[in-house]
Amino acid sequence: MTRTPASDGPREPLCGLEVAVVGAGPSGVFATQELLRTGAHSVTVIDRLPAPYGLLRYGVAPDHQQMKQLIGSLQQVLTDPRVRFVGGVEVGRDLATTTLRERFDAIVYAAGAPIGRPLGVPGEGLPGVFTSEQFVGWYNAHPDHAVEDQLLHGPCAVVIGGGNVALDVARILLLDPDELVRTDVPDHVLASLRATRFTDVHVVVRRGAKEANFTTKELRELGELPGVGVIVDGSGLPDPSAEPDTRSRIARNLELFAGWAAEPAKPTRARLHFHFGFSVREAVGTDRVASVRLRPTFSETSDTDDDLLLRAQLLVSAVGYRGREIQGIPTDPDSGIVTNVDGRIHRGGRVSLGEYVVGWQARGPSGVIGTSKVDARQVASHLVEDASALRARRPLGTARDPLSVRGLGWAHWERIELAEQALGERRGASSVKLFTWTSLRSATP
Amino acid sequence: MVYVITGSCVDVTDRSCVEQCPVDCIYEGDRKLEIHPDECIDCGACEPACPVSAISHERDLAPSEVQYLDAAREFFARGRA
Repeated sequence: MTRTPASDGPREPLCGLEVAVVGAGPSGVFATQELLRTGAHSVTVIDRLPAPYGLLRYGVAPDHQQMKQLIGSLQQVLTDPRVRFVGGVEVGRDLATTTLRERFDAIVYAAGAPIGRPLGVPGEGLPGVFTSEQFVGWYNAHPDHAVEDQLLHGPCAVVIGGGNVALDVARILLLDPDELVRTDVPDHVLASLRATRFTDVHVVVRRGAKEANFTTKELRELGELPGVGVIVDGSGLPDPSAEPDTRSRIARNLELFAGWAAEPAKPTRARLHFHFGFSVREAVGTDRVASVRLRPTFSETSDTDDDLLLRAQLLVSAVGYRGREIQGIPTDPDSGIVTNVDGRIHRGGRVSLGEYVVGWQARGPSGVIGTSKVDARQVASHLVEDASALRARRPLGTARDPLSVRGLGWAHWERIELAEQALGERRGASSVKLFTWTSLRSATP
Repeated sequence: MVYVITGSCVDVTDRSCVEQCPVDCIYEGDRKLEIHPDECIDCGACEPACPVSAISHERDLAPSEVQYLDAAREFFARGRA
């Protein structure tokens, strides 16, 4: 690291500055890590949940344990003596952004994009219809989405979406629930999956196989689920060898689809169907969803001859996410993206000194976990650049008071972890998640 | 399961992948970058970052490319001096 001479001011550029990071998910923790590397001496990381790790804990599928290894590196950052974790505090609701600005020199927003987009079609309000936020939140024990009663009805499900979230949802529905016993899913999720065996799961993609955003690895996993056949109509599939780069993700995905399309049908316990070029028009049912009406996406006419009616007792929309607007922070109402230029928050068309944003709250929900590292470096360099202006802005003779921001700290999170480990022991799992606000706040099951 | 950097990286070493890796498991190799097979968490962040499509999941390696995974293992086994 380059150090400026002592006479030029503080040896560490960020020395003496109180920084708050809003959100303890990957983007917030990567930003914290980068700030520490740049010489920050005090970072307060605030999360609305009593548990840290954001999407790693509440987004990544329970059977993707390898991804969760990243938790180890995030934990290292959050337990650094220069970092204080404040859980269970929602900025904009429990703590005003104006208060935050009084108590900290700089604030980095990293609250992600947690809100699942709805489909906007008739019948969406029927029981059995969920957004991916609700459904993923349910199986991942997010306290906003706990449903202890039998949630699922089968044996058919429709998942709308052309991204990895749609694949996660399909895989969770199709895998043998015994595969989840050693993971951290709550007992009621396991029970619900066991009580409802799905025979047919349909993944519906608005555009073509080529435009889908699936990762090859995730796609391949579906084809390897024991007892599950993948059914794709080969007639409309683009030729993988026509791709300019035959090693690209798209070419590899197309090869997988072509392989499945060419496979002779054989009897399996369950089937995964891919439908490309269809959009959902309606969820049909009386007391709960019973079927889903699809129409070719690029149909010129309004006639219903080409409509496809799929029997389904469960409909999950995985059509993207948007940010949750934080009161007092300029945010685009549709995307939930905070108004910013390269990570500096703008108010009234001008840079707002000391306010920054990273990750999905800055860019929208794209990229895998890890993409936020670039944002983190950027925000750290902004802070270095702004440091003297931030110091000069401090009211004379006053001290910032970060400790006055109180919530459930790291010790509380460790109690949650212990409670979760105890729950896990009964099932031979290393931990099983607490899933209600009450249990998370009390750190007891 | 891990990601592997194949021959297209040789003498290119663009390093865009290094910027993306959340666990910092991509190292400077002899003439190319190398992913540490024991540190990679299989997240896939690096794959789309590569301008020369040099990064593949180990399951996607062509028979002629399997050597790169072996080479990576050997590289890290002998220590990165």
